[in-house]
Amino acid sequence: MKDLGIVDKVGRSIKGVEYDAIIAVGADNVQYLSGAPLPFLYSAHDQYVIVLWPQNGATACICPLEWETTVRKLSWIRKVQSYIDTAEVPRSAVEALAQSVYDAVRKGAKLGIDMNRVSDSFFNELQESLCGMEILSCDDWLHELRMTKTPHEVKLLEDAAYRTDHGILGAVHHVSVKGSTNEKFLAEGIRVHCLERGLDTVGHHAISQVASGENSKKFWPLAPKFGLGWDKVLVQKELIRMEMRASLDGYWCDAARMLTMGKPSPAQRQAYEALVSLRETAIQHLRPGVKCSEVFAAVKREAEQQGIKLISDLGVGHGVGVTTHERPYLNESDDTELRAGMVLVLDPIIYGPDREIMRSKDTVLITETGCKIVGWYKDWREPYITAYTF
Amino acid sequence: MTEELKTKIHNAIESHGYEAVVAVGVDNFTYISGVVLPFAANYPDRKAVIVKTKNEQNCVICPFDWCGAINDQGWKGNIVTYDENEGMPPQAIIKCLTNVLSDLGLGEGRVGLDVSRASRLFVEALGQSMSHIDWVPCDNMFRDLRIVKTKAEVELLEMAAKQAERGIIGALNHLEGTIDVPGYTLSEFSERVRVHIVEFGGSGIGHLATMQGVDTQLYYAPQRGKFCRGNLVRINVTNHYRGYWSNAGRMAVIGEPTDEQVESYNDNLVLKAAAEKNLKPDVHCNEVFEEVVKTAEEEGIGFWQELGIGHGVGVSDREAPYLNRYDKTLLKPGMVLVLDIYTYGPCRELIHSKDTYEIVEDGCRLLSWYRSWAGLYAVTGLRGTH
Repeated sequence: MKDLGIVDKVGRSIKGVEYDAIIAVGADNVQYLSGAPLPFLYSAHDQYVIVLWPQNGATACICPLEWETTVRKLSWIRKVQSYIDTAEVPRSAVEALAQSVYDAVRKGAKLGIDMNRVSDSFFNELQESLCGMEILSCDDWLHELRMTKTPHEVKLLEDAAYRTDHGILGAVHHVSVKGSTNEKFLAEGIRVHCLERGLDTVGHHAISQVASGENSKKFWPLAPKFGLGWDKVLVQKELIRMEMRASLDGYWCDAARMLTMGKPSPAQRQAYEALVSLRETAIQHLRPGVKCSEVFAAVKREAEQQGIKLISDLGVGHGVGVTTHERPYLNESDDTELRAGMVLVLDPIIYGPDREIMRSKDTVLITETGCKIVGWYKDWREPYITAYTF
Repeated sequence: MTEELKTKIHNAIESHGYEAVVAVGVDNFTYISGVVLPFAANYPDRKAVIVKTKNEQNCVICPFDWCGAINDQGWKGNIVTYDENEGMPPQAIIKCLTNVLSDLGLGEGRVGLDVSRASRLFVEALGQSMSHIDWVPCDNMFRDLRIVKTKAEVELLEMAAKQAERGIIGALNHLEGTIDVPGYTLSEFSERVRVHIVEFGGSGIGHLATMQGVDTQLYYAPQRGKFCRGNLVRINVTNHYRGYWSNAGRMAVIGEPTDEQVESYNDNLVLKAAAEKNLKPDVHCNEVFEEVVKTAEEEGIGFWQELGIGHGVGVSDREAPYLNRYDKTLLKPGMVLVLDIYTYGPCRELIHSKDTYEIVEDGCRLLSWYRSWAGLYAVTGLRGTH
């Protein structure tokens, strides 16, 4: 397990909180605190990996017996306590956790737990088992920790973004050479090129999809056959949306790019320029001290002034880290102040001339003085145009 | 979704005295709606929630960008999207859900909620927002409903199991002829499994791991390195077809197997056969487990008893009932289970060969074989057929 600087960071931060120990149950929080990328956790509804982090630093991980060797290998946490699954979910996990808590803290201790992740039934059983202890929410504390990345995390996220962008372009080059192909071929090409660049494409979230023409008018045009692409041939004059989510050592890239088949029409070029202008507006506001909601408002205002059809329900971006979509959110309700070290995916989504859904996601690092786009393999101020040659 | 399943769910809601149920869990959502959102579990802060009333008024609440995928899967009820600008998670969806419940006339009465899936914060916020409703945990209702499958559900599970098989076999065939220099990477192989499953119609992949040699002692590790001659390989994949899961695991060996490798694989099959004989109606799950323990003792075969020997499969890749020493559930026709017995290889590799079975009136029916797994699959570089 690589040291990403999180152990020190959490160790220092926990000294300043009121909890005697922290309990993390959510798959994302567990990965963050344990350092173990465990992608299968997201689809395991009745099995739990839990991190217990007491003030004294004697951190423990509780997991099903079947996963014990995996957790030992992938996590920096040395104390791994396994439990045996019975027919009573989540009792055995709760009992193992409760035992570890009793070993770690005094009676009457205050515990912090990720209330926005732990299920209500797990919480109730735990509260019963930890009679006399107070269990409070530590969600805000975890959010604060996770939102600002360590330099090692930044490096991983930057690397993941760069490799993904490179992977997308590698696949697009084949389209340029071949003249045309179909959505399925391009989607598969993106996936393979990302894999060749050392990315892990694991889990549901490793979705690569290509949507062109009519299909590009939908977010998920392939339902219920997600993640592969149809046989639809890419034809001249169509806008094509390419999406790829990939991870590197558990840290994610959330990418989308636009491609035009042949020379774009004036309307297509205008739409792409609109997308670029919203990105530039956001970038002007992405700096320490500015609230996320202010960035959103600025982009929305720009769209209104320019007559750009912005899809604002989803905000205009979000954080990225051990998940593809996390705090802070560049939307109206998030008043988080930006800080140096935050990494966000800038994602204003607009409608194209024929109501195509257009997005060109950029990974952005907040710096001391402003922000920096990371991971560009190509200058995306210009669209990628296939012209039978590169 | 079939009328049979709709009726089954409707009757359960009525018999529990609920005005409605609200399902937050990805698995329960799929079960009630018939809609699969394979990416939903990977968005911890975003949710799709379904409300189903006893009067058959159904409504899905979801983020704006998921709406189309739900409609495209034939969803016939209402659908309301929530604006993520309306509050930090989970406030935006709670506001929207509150409005939906009010519009449905659900201001009071008993409403079921899957509290084993909904977060504590979600439940607290919902309770505060709709304080006149008597929120009742309905997880046991879901368990009882889901444990016995309808015929249509079994067909979906069979399809998912076959897709997993074809995915694994397809990938193994890519491996043929590449076992020497320059070699074939584990990540490429796993990717082939995924692509083949999706090519055969799969709607999503969950767990995916190919482990070789001593690494077979691990459940998962990032896929690194190349296949090495002489190694035992364990291939695990969970995948779904329209939301119904398969949970597959197969063994192979790179090159010609040693006698010890063949023997250890055959030991696994002996225990599986013992379990299979007892997979029939009116046998308790723990009795199936005890029969395997007995056979293992008689035959002198070591296995990893603490994990049990299998579990149910349905709208999740692992669910009740559980084939272990604790679960006294009585097997019934329509249950679908995965047999999963871990034994040991000559170098303490963890071996299993998972199969999916439907419990039928006179025993069980194997759903998962696309080819025979009665012998250890050897990647010799000579096989030329998919």
